[in-house]
Amino acid sequence: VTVLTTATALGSGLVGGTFMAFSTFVMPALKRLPTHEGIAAMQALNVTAVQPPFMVPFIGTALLSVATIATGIADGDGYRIGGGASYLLGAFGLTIAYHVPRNDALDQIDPTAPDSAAHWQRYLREWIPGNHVRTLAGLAGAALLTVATNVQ
Amino acid sequence: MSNKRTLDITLVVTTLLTALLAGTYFGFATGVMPALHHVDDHVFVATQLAINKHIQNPLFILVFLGGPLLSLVLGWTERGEQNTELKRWLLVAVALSVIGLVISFAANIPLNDKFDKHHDRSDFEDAWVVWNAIRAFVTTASLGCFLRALLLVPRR
Repeated sequence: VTVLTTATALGSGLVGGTFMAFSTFVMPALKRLPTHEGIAAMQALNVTAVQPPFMVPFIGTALLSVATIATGIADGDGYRIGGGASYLLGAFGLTIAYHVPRNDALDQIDPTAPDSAAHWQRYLREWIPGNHVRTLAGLAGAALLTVATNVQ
Repeated sequence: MSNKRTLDITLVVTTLLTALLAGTYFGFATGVMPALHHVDDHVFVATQLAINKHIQNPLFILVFLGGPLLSLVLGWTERGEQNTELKRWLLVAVALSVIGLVISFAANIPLNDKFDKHHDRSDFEDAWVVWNAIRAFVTTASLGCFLRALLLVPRR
């Protein structure tokens, strides 16, 4: 169980750290670019994000979270339940429900089309605050699960 | 541990900072740099310059320096302890964390500085990607050792 909890903490921290990079400098950087360049860079990012190197930890940690929550419920350990749920709902769930549809919509955009600027601004306005939330959720998951390994 | 509670909190915070830093490097290795590989030179230069500028923000610098520096504090407080399994994992974690920081200062940051001046993609991209992959690996290994050490701290 400690190995499971530790692996989930590690995954949650890695994914949270990746999101943090986007919140603190990747998106602020893209925002400053001319619209067509920002869109082109983001579209390229959304293609590579769904490749195995990121998908394996991202989905793998979600599966581990489910197992961690289950063992947490079995043992009555609130840290494991809270940490697992934080990643599963706040980092993984939010991405699927909130960011993926917006990424899919952006992929349909022609970066040089006249109305692309309005779409890009709306995308940034919606995507970035959601990214702050999933960064915090990943970090909270890692924090709670790290504490869980230390108090159980 | 002479002061177990202090060690616990410092160790937990250091572990979390290390996780965030490993995740940042991992994000570059798996997402940002592969994506930029597919954009044309103009977009690459503009994006990379903007990233290099915005990465110098207080939150990232806190994570970037805070993890390795707190690691050193942990290593220092451990110096008088007996040679337990906990101490060994901790010292390996500290060493890997510092190696990650050294790689950044010796390789990635000079490459950034050169790129900011000359805007030369061919002189930057391949080397930066390799060194970033190495520091991502080293920092993730440090994280694993910190987590292993946490499991060995005596239970309250």
